[in-house]
Amino acid sequence: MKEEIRNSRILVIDDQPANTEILANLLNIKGYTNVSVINDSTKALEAIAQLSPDLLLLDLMMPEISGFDIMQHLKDNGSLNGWMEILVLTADATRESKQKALAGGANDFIVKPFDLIEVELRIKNLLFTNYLLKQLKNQNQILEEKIKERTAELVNANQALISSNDALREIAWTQSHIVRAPLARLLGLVTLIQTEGEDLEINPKEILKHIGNSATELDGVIRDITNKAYTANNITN
Amino acid sequence: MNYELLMVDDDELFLVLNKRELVKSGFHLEPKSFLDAENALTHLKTLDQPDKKTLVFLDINMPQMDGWQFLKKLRELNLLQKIRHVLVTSSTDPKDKIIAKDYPEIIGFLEKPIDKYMLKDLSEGEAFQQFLNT
Repeated sequence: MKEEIRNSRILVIDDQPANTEILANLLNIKGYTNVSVINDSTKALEAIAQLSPDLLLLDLMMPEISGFDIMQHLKDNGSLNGWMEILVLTADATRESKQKALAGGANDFIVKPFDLIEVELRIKNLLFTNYLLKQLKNQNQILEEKIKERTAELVNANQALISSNDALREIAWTQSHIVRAPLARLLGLVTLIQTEGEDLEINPKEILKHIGNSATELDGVIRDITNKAYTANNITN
Repeated sequence: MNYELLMVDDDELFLVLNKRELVKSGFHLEPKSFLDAENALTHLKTLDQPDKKTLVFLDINMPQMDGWQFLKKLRELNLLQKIRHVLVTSSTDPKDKIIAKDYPEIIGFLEKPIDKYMLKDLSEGEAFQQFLNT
């Protein structure tokens, strides 16, 4: 038997000390280490809240507060969350009683007088189911945490991409603006020559000087862009 | 022409080319050229004809005082409402268009080199017609 199952918290609630004694002894013999017993059902809810048992062995017919009352109360305050198994103990073997118990929140039932082999097998099965459910819950939690971590990483990576995209857009804009200035001068000069023909108001040598200066400026800007692109490629490769 | 036209640009070549285009297209016969915004500002401050309408073809990227600082200064001097502006730049920065929303006195954007078609569009525009008729 797995240690986790052997160390499961088990609470036995029955107003008959003879019954609780039989069950406690059986559980001890079978190696369960964490067994508590209550005969006064008025203290049941307090004990459940305190111990937070993995398995409740619950007698149905008890004075003052019955097993049904306890299940109803657990249901009402949201304690029947699926992480605590309830095995009801009942002398009433009628179909209605079993159905009522199962509908009330019980996971299984045992009919008195106890068949100890059956009792032990049902307890073992319920604790194993409970163990698997809790494992699953833990794994889900781990997965959820991993998803959260991965999502946060993706959000950060996305933010970084947006920032670098903005920066690239800014660089592209600045470069195109710098390119556009000498180009605009060249276009203006070309139009001037085209439309004025022989009647140029400005000295042709002066125009050629401006064309040369603008072309040199343009060449410088383009070389600068090429160098930056080359550096950027080297960095990314 | 019942208005004065100033061109403010730190690039002398553009002043020459733009003036030629303005005169040749008949948009304006006597545009005045200013190589820096400070001189243009001094000229506007000393105008002794307060009713004379003025249009400024204004470059944005200039050393010392840029186009935006020039407009801010005009606003501080309470001169802005008498003057309309056309921003003339090598390329129109979308950011400039956003800033321009603060200045209803800006009635147009032109990209260098300006040509007769741009000037025709500008002169036929509603904002320019309003400027002429006020």
